[in-house]
Amino acid sequence: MWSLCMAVALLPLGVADAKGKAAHDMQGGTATVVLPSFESLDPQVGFSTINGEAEWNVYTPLLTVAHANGVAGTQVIPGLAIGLPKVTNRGKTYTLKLRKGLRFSNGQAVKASDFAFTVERALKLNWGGDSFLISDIKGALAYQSGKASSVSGITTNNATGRITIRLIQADSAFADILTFTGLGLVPSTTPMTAESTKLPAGVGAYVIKNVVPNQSFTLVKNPRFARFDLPGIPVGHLNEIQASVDTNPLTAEQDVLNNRIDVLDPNFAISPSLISTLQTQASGRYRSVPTEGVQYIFFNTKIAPFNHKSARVAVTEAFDRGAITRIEAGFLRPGCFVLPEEFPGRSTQPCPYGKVSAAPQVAKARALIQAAHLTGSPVTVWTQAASPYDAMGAYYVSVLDGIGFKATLKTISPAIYYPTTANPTLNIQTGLAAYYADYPDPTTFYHLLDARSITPTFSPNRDQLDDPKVQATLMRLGGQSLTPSVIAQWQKLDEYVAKQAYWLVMGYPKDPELFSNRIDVKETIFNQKYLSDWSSWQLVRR
Amino acid sequence: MLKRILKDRLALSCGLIFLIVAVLSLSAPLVAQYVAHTGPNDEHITATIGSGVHRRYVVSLVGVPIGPTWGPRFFLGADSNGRDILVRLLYGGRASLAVGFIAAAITLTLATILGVAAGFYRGWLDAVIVRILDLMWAYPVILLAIAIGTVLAVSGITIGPITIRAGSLLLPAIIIGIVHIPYVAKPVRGQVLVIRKREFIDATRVLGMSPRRIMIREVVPNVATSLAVFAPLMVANSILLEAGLSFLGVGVLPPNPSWGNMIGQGISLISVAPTGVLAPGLMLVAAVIGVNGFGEGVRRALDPHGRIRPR
Repeated sequence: MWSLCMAVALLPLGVADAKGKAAHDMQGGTATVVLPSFESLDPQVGFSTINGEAEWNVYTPLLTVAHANGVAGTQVIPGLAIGLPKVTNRGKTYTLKLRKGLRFSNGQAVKASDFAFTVERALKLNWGGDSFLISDIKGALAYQSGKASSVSGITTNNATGRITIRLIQADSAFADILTFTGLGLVPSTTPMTAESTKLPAGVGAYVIKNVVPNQSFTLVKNPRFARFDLPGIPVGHLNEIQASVDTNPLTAEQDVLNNRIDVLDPNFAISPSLISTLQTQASGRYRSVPTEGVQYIFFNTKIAPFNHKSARVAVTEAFDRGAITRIEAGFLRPGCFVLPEEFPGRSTQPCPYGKVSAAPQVAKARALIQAAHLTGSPVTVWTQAASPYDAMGAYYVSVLDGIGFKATLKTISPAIYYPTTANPTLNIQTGLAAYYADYPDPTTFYHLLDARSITPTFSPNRDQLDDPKVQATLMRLGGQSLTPSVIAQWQKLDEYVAKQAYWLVMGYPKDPELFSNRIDVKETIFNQKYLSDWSSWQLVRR
Repeated sequence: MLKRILKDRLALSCGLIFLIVAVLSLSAPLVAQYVAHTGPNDEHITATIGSGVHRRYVVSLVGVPIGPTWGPRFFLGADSNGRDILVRLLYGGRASLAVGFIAAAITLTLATILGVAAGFYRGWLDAVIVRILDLMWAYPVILLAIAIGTVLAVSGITIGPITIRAGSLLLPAIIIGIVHIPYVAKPVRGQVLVIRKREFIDATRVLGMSPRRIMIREVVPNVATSLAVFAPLMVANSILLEAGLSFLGVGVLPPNPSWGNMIGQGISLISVAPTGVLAPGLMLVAAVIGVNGFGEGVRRALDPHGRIRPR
């Protein structure tokens, strides 16, 4: 159903088909894009959605996802590998073969051993998605903790290009994990240190140059890439894409609206004051796209007060999702389950603590807090120092104060928000977060509640949750294909997590897309994993 | 001095402006309780006001807040969180003025101690204090305040048995009070260097007064007039710096209101809810002009060569 809706919604915008669109292609030129922030562009360091957008066309992994709109964009396709992996040993061994004749953007030949090096580099540099590797690949944890000199689960043969990956247990989503840009191959000669300005070479349509951390960078076409002719992987239209950061959404949006900048990154939150203007003055180049993401409040279950279920339930009861939807200018579909609407495994049951549109039960929540002797407990709420997250944080603080907590708000720069809140040593009690599906499997969301995701320095499991029931289900379902019985078990888990109120799910976001009148909007692609596909941008033929 | 100030209409007008701002700010709890019936941090995002065809959302479905109603509730409109701008404006005034006065008091106290000690004792103590003041002076005041504010806004500060939590009003007041010290301490030191050579100081020494007593009983009273001129200027500067820091998110921390953070929060909605920026901006201008104008009047009144110009 979801896919059908997406297909219908995106039909007028066209679906990527490199050969079919040849007649419309407009090559060359320079475009500009404005971003709200970006992390380190070293592929084995940054893990944000914004980084993924920029790196998708720069660091091609062995497998990648189709450059297509809607559900077609979640399809795994070969990247630098010849074909999809051969899965043997009951799902525990993946064998791939590297394409021949590939070269990095610096001219070095690509070898099978570069994959092993890339994984090792991602582990050593604590790449944001390293928990995926640690929980799946044999020997990844031992390598990261310094107990082994290489990842024992990966063997490569440079002569044949054969790459074998052995898993700890079967994981049906492992092919999707291999599509992360963090596993985009880099040469084995790359330093084992995080690079902020002199980035590693990659294999992709573009090369990242002129990086000024937190300010700007440029994607320049990689002249070598076109001759590899990788099926389904575009070579890009523009010669150059200049990206810059503007932390003020209003000026960023006005710059694109007035054609001073060509593309507004979908990670921006559209300012309410501009919505009617956009709808009237830029209707052909502005739209909001439902995404497979979730916006939620995490509760650290290891420390007070949210180690008490009644504290979490009380907040859930008192929270008004309608208020948050308004703060987000309508760019949120309210919900209560971890998995977004129509996502496989999403619960079909009603929300356990009342309808999402129901009025908040403040008196009931206050009674719960009193009964648990938690009245007056101090709570620090973490959020990003950017609109609308600061306003959302302020609303959350008012909810906590209203039910008897003594809440304070802590806002930090968006550029460091996610790595900071994932640091378990800071003992962060609660905060706002969002996550976008990386692949169409419930594990993409549930790794955020998986105890195996907790590492000493970086824990995407911000709840620090280690619930035996959740853990047992994740261990059991992690490797299985999404058959009806498996989906039913995921649904049960989704219900259980909502009942335990491990997260306060606010809803599922919609992302804005806004282009200048220089960009051929009909040809642009919005990918579910990497959002705006920079390789699809082309100038309007005049 | 009082007679001279009372004859200075400009100073009196400015003082009156500031007085009005201060009284309005002090009346915040009364306005909140008896007029607007809401607190500064109370959110009414999904609430409506009016009835029948006049019923309106406080915040629309696409996040646009209500404009001025010119009535008891939402007199100046609401912000994006459905909070009453007037109530926040008045509470924000309390925060801004409190920070301004506390910071000015910190600056004047510490600057007097350091300036008098450096100028009176001279020698190595003077050299150390002057170098530290030079270092602070050389660093742009707003950047220094941001740097200190960013560190302390996250963790708070503990000095001996005293702990100031992140989010406390004292934190921005202390930061602003400290970064302004050189601007007062250096002129005070210069004045003390002159005073210490005066004959009456020699006389007190001959009488056997201890250096500490000389400083307290003889030197400080002689720099008091300068401090009286500095005081309103420091209050004005501190209010402005607090607004700047709060605008940048390192002063008074949200959700507590201050004029600076109200401007920062309202700026993204300026085209649809301009009162969210204009109202705190105007209050800020009024407060600063009021204090500065009055301070200038004090300076004129204390200036032995100055005369009140006939009008």
